[in-house]
Amino acid sequence: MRSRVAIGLCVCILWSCGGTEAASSPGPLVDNTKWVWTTDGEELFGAPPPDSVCERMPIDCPEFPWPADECVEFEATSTCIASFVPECWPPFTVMAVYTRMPNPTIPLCNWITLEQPALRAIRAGDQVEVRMRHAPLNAPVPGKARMSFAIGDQIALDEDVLIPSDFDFLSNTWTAPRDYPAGTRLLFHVENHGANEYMLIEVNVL
Amino acid sequence: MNVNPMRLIALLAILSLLLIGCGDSGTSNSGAGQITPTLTHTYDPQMIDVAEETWGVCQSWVLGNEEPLYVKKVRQTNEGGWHHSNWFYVPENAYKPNYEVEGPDATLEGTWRCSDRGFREYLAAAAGGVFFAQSTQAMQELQAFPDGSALEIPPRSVIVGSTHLLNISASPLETAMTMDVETVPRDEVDIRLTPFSFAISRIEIPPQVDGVPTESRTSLLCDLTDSFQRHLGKDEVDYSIYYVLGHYHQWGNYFNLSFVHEDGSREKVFEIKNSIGEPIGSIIDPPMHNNGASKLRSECGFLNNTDETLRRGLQYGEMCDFLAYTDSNLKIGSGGSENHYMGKGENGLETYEVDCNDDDITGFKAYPDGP
Repeated sequence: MRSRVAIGLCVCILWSCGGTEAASSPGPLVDNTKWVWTTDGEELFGAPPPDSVCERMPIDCPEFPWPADECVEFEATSTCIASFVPECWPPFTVMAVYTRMPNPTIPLCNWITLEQPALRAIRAGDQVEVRMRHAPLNAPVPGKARMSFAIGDQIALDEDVLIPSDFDFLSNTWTAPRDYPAGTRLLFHVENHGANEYMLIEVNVL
Repeated sequence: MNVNPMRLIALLAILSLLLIGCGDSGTSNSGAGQITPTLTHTYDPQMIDVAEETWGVCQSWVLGNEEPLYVKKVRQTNEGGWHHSNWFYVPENAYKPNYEVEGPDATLEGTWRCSDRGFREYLAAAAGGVFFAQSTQAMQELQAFPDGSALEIPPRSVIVGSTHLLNISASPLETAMTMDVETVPRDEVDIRLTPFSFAISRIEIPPQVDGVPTESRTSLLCDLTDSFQRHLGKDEVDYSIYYVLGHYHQWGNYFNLSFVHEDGSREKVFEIKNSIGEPIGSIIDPPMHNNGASKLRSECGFLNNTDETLRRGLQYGEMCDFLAYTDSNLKIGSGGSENHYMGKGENGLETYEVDCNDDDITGFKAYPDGP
């Protein structure tokens, strides 16, 4: 019995220290062309309010479906309305979230969570930098927007932004409390009720 | 002398366009098009720190041309971080160095704070004309006027641009823009393009109601028959549009420019939907002929999410302006006059129409020897 306990302990220690499976290397943690809509994340971001809505299908959008594994470059005269889209911002591909309303009485998207698996493993003690930006926020006034990013069961960036406000870059360097294997669930979350624009620029293991 | 404010606005507009106002605009063909540069210039590199956004920085290029230049194509390439920029040709004396503010080493060509020399885009457009409008975030793009047409740049001109840079990378950025210009001899130019510009002077954009933003439309419909008769001696309104640049501010969400026929039917020349707060331009290729339509109509849509009625203004106001380059050999501008509330339109939106009488249009023949 003692030997079983000892073996079990060893296994646990090895696992928590990170074996070769959990080895990490610096580099991008996300691919912004890979985000998909999800209902997950309630335990991290709270329950969506009853009036939350998000139109997931792009409207009046000749660019849709988006090209696989590529960013979308909109013509200046594009009619496309999309709540989330991997947009070309040379030299970056960003995950852009638009809450702009096609009709002022109908919100396009006021609560959205997107999901993808982590591209690489994170080791306990690794630093992960999350970088986002929001455009000038105009509506509703007064109001509050929220931008969040979660790695597994942990929130790595969580910012409330008062409306109105000027554009801003939000970033946080998060230190992993434990190991996270490649494929760990990543969540990008935005809450807002106005006609505004947000983007996830990049997430990197430093 | 009494100056009618409506005519003053029309005059400013005619001088080329009140419209470029302030933002960005897309143009023409994107990507790498064919160009045979006859002039090339690289502007000073600009430094932008991590997460920095800069605007109000002007850059100038002294062409030093003793004769007119006939521009067929312009291509910009940049090293990233250029969110948008609008470029104009102006006389050399338009934005001379302000030595008191900038110091004794300031030069006509270079990089300077736009405010130090009193630079405003609509004034630059009035002093000269629009040269190039960079699309948002485009690292390379070509603006090419249709075959046979060109923009005439007067002797001793300077290219001036107001720039808006944005660094979303995690490192400081040093980035420059290079401009390639293809000019042709005068005898290869069939059409010298001339500007039409409407800049609606009396805008009234209704406020939100009970927290619900109000969407509205404002239009200006001008009959050009009198202008063509008076300034060109032509009984028929006959022209084509080669380029359009629409302009509104952050509450704007729609722009439409259309020919309007005698029976009221409309032919769309250019339309933008859902783009917020940035002027957008485009080459019309092939050029669009008016097909006998004597009237030209511009319309803007707005989404007002404030408790105030919005009126024409810069930072906290709105605009509904456009510039169109045409082959008419006529320069005209109008600000319209009275604004009338027309109730809800077929689309359910609050609708306003602005009068455009013959007296509200200012114009003159551009080139005595024809376009």
